[in-house]
This record gives sequence, structure tokens and C-alpha cells, in this order.
Amino acid sequence: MIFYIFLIIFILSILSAIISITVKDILFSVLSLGFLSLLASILFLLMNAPDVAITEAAVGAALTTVIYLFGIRRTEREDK
Amino acid sequence: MKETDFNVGKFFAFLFLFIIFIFMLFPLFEQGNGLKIEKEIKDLRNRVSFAYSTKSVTDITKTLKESGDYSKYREIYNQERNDIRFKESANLENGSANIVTSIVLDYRGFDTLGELIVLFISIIGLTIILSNLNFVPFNPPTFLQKTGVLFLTPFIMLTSIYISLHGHLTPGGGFPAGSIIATLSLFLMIGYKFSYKLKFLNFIESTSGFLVFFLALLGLFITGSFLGNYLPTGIVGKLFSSYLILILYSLVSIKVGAELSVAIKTLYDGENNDR
Amino acid sequence: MIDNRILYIFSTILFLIGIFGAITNKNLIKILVSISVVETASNIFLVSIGYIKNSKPPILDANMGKISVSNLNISDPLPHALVLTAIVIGVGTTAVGIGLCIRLFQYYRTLNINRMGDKDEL
Repeated sequence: MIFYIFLIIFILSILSAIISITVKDILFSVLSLGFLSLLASILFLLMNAPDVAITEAAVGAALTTVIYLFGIRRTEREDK
Repeated sequence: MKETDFNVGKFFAFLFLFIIFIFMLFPLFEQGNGLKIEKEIKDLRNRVSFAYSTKSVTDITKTLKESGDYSKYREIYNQERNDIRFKESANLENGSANIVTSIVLDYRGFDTLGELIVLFISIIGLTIILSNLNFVPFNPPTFLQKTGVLFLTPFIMLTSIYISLHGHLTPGGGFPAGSIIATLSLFLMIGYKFSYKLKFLNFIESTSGFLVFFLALLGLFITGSFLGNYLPTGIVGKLFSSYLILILYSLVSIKVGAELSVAIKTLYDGENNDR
Repeated sequence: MIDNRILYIFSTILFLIGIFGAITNKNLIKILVSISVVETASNIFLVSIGYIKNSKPPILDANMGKISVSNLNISDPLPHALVLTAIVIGVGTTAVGIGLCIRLFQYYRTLNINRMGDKDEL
């Protein structure tokens, strides 16, 4: 059972990493990075590290995404 | 720039990284004494974390120094010691039930102080880079944003206080609590155009940072080691136990929260707007 | 059930995806995103070093009852402590990078690194 959860997380996180570095719209890329952070936090929880999971969920999925969004707001959205 | 050049560059980058990938697989098949990734780790017995988990660092180092033979650490690890029982054991090295917290703030607290300085310097760099920059202000908040912030603010505040005060009992602690406080200040900025004065945040940040260093230096004078534990440790698992870690983690959460709030405020409406 | 070697290979692949993005992208913010992917991968690798199968989290609570020295059944807490601070440092460095991007955009009016040098020709 837990093996399949790990497998789903592996596939989804590699997919979201590939999307976040290849897609042309930077907004989509940043949101995909936030999703990767969320998956990493679930992975930390499954690896018996609840401290790291809480920190990653609070920082990676919320604050980092917001900082990137401010950056996009002040610059441009398209990767030209 | 032509499109073809770009594709050739991507192809060579892929080839290069594939070769690196093959080299990075070598630790899986290592036979000798080099770095190897084992199939599974059986026990903590051969790791330094054994001493941290059983809260017997002073004991083990004392025995090792007396024997003078540091290669025999495994025998010393295997010696009989008392179990640590939840809500029974008292007067340990530090009374923190969360072992990660005891490493972050006690055994390797010097490292944490260095990381706090790194965070401080990076926020200084951000404010210097973005100084004298006039941003276009955001739109005024809509009704939905105001209501959402009104609903969520008390829960976020409660969560951050709970996490920072229970850092020695439950997962969490000062660092996630600080980032949740920064999220709260972001919410207030978005929902109510509520803007802290930078001087206020600087005062909070410098006061808590000074107190952290002062409490750490006090250990040098009382116990003889930097960040030494000079307050009573109490019973493991109680809320009011391991007082030094409780105070230090609350201060760290305030410091981290103020620093990240400064970062978010600087990115939100520039530094120029309240001077 | 889950193997430490699988976790190692997974974090290696994620790391190399991030490096690939950092050396092939032309947009500054996407380079920063790729570096964040590298950071996440290295954090996963560090935590996976301390993962012990069928063990409990390193937190003493009422369910665990006691930490017994002869039969220690918890994961390695040392990598957790290192990664905990490294994540928070990552936010600070990311914010510095975004600040530099904003400054460069205000000066050159573009984020593409190939077009940044020729400001005089614009």
C-alpha cells in the first residue's frame, strides 16, 4: 500500500518538476513548483520527518510561491 | 537567435547530465570502504544520533575522554543506560521530548545561530537591492479578500502561537511558526492594506535577536559552554519543561517572523512608501 | 517496503532535472525556479539518509511511551534538524534572487539573459 503512495508521489513530482522547467508561462511554472513542494512535504511525512514536513508546507508551498508571484507581478509573465 | 542552436544546446546538456547520472549511480554498487547507499539502515546504533536520541552526550564524551581510545565508541554506545519514559523521566540533559528540537537548539545550537545570521544578512541584502524603488501600488482589496482574511486570521494566529510554544513537544517549532507569522502579515496586507512600519519590525527583530544571543552568552558564564543549559529541565513531556528551549524557540519564531515580514513588505510595496 | 536506494535514485533524477533547467533556460525567473527544484531534491536526499524502515518519528509522545536504549526504534533526527533550517534559509535566498530580477528588469526591460547586454542598441 505505502509503496504505491510513494510511486504516485514520485511520478507526480517528476512530472511537476519537468513542467516547471519547460513551460513558457512563468506563472504556471511557479504554481507547478509549489505543487512540487507540497508533494515533497507529503514525502517528508512518509519518511518519518513531521518537523520538516510542517516547515516545507508552510514555507515551500506558501511563502516561496508568494515571493515568486510578487516577482512576476513586478516583471513580466511570459518567457519570451 | 536561431531555433536550431537552442535545440543543439539542449541535446548536449541532456547528454552531459546523463553521464553525470551514471556516475551518481556508482554509490549504489560500491563494494569497498567508500560512500555507499545501503538497501536499508538497521539501527541508529552506529550513528552519532544515538547519543542525541538517548540524551547521553555528556556521559559518552566523558567516558570516551577518560578511556582515550576514540575508536571504541561502539562498545560505549552498547553500555546499559536508563530508558527515557514519557512524563516520568526528569532532570535529563535537556527536557525536550522532540529530539529534533533538542538538536536544533541545544546540541547543535551554534549552527542554528549561524543560520539565523545568514537569514538576517539575506534580508538586509534584499532591502538594499530594492531600496529607492517606487512600485505601482496594488488594487484595493475586494469584498471576498476582506472576508476571507477576516475568517482566516484568528486561526492562523492561533496555529502560529501553538506551534511556537509547543516546539519541544510536537513537530514544528520556531522556524515554521515564524513563516506562518509572515503569511499572516501578508494576509493583513492583502486584505486590509494594513502596513507595518519598518521601524516597528526592525525593533522587534533586533530585540529578539539580541535576546537570543544574550541568553546564549549567559550559558558561557554560568555553565562554561556557549548555549549551555542553565535553566531547570523538568519532566519530559510536560508543557513547562526545558525552559531554555521554550524561551529560545519563542524568540526565534518572533525573529524569523519579523524578518520574513520585512521581506514580504519590501516586495509588496517597496521600501520608499513609509519613510 | 520502500528502499533507500529508490529514494536516492529519485532525488538524483529530480536534482538533474533542476540542473538541466538551470543550464538551458534563458529566463532569469525560470533559472531561479530550477534552482529551487535542485534545493528540494537535495533536501529529500538528506532526509532519506535518515529514513529507517518500520521506525517511528523521533518525537517522544504518549503512544511511543519510552525511548529504550537497547531497542532504539526511531528515524535519524540529525538530517531533519539540518534540513529544517536549510528550508527557511532557502526562502531568504530566493527573495534576494527575486529582488535582483526586479532590479535587472527595471534596468534592461527584459528578463532574457541573451538580450541583457545590448542595452545601447535598444
